[in-house]
Parts: sequence; structure tokens; C-alpha cells
Amino acid sequence: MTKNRLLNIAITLCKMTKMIFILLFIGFTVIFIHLQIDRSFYSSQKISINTNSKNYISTTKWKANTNEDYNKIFTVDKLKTGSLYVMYLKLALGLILLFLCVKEFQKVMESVKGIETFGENNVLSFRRIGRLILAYAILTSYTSMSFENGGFSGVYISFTSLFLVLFAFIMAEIFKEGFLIKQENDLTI
Amino acid sequence: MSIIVNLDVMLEKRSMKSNELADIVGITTANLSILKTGKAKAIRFSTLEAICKALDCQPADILEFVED
Repeated sequence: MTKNRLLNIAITLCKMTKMIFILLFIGFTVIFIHLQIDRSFYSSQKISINTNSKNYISTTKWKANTNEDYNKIFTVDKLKTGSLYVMYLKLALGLILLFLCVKEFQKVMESVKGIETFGENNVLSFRRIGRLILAYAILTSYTSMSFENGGFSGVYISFTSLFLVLFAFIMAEIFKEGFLIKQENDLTI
Repeated sequence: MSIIVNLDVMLEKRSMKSNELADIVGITTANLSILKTGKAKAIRFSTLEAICKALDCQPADILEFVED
């Protein structure tokens, strides 16, 4: 009973997270479209870039013949169109990858609920989760933004994501062992 | 696999059907089919004992080792 309640909470959380990702995707798309219609609306929106984070292995900031403060250069309305498109695509793709990740995790939870924990599908699901998080880590590792009077580029390594990738692949191996033991048990007459 | 299950031969000798044997031994016909087709990975002594009792034979009559 407790086990089932916990699983039900996990499944509900997965569903809610998926909904949040869909809403975020729609929200980003609306902002992306609105930004192209009325840029001045976002003139006060600054883009804060935390270059002091130790996860950044290289960062470059540049200004073009101006004495303006970086805070005034890095605003949403001054973002170049190309950079805006790249940023939107990155966000959209990132959200899609995370959505698929949560979907796979939900599948695993549902299979545990259906007492099919050590099935081959769960091994494949965990491998897929690992690959998706790896793709997400690679996608978010490079940031490059060009503004009208300057720009920023940096390479960022997300150790949390890499740890999760490792964890997912280890889980896949554990489930593979479980699957082999279950198969042997099933085929013992 | 190098262990051959000759259950079919013994069933024919004793003029017994698979369903009957499954009933006597107390296993499902699906499991008996797994055993007959050689897909089984292991056989319990209790199952082997029940099959031998039902078919009035020795384990060697059912199982055979063949070099790969």
C-alpha cells in the first residue's frame, strides 16, 4: 500500500512536470514571438550571466566601442536576431529533451506499479534517459549571445547532469542484471 | 544447448498427452512446453522427480547430454 502510494505520487509528479514543461514551452514561444513584434517592451529585462560560476571553463565578454556598462549591453531587447533564434531553439530543444526524460521515468514507474520492474523495457528506458540527459548537458554546455554593442560566450560543464548520466547508465546495468535473474527464474521449471 | 530434453519420446512411449502430464506434475502447459522445446534454463529436482514418477522412468530417459 505504502509502496503504491509512493509510486502514485511519483507518477503524478511526472505528469505535473510534463505539464509544466509544455506550459514553459508555450510561454517561451509566446515571448519569442512577442519579442520580434515589440522589442522595446523588454528593454528593462536584463540577462544576468553568472560568469563567476566555477563550472564555466572559459568565458569571453566583449564590448564594441562603447563605455556602457555590461548591464546596459546585456538586455533582452538588444539581443541580435540570430542569437535570439539560437537561444529559443536551445531552450525549446532542452525542454523537449527534459520532457522525454520525464516521460521515460514515468514509464519506469508505471512498470514498477504493474509488477514488471525487471523487464527489458526498463533497461532500455534508463539507457534512453542517460542519452537524453547527456544530450541536454551537451546542448547547454555552450552559451553564445551577441548583443548590439557586445556579446558573451562561454563553455559550461554541468557536473550535476553528468552525474545523472552516470547514474542512469548504472541503473540500466542494475536493471539488466535484474532482468537476467528474472529471466533465469522464469525459465526454471 | 548441449542438454537435450527427450520428453516427447517418453510421452509417446507412455501414450500420454502433454496436458495430462502437466496436470499430474502440477505445472502449467506453457512451462511444460518451455521444457520440451529446450528453452528452459534449469529444472527443479522436485519437478524432475514428479515427471519421473508420472512417466515411470529415470532422469536419464528424459535428459541427454550431446557435445556441441
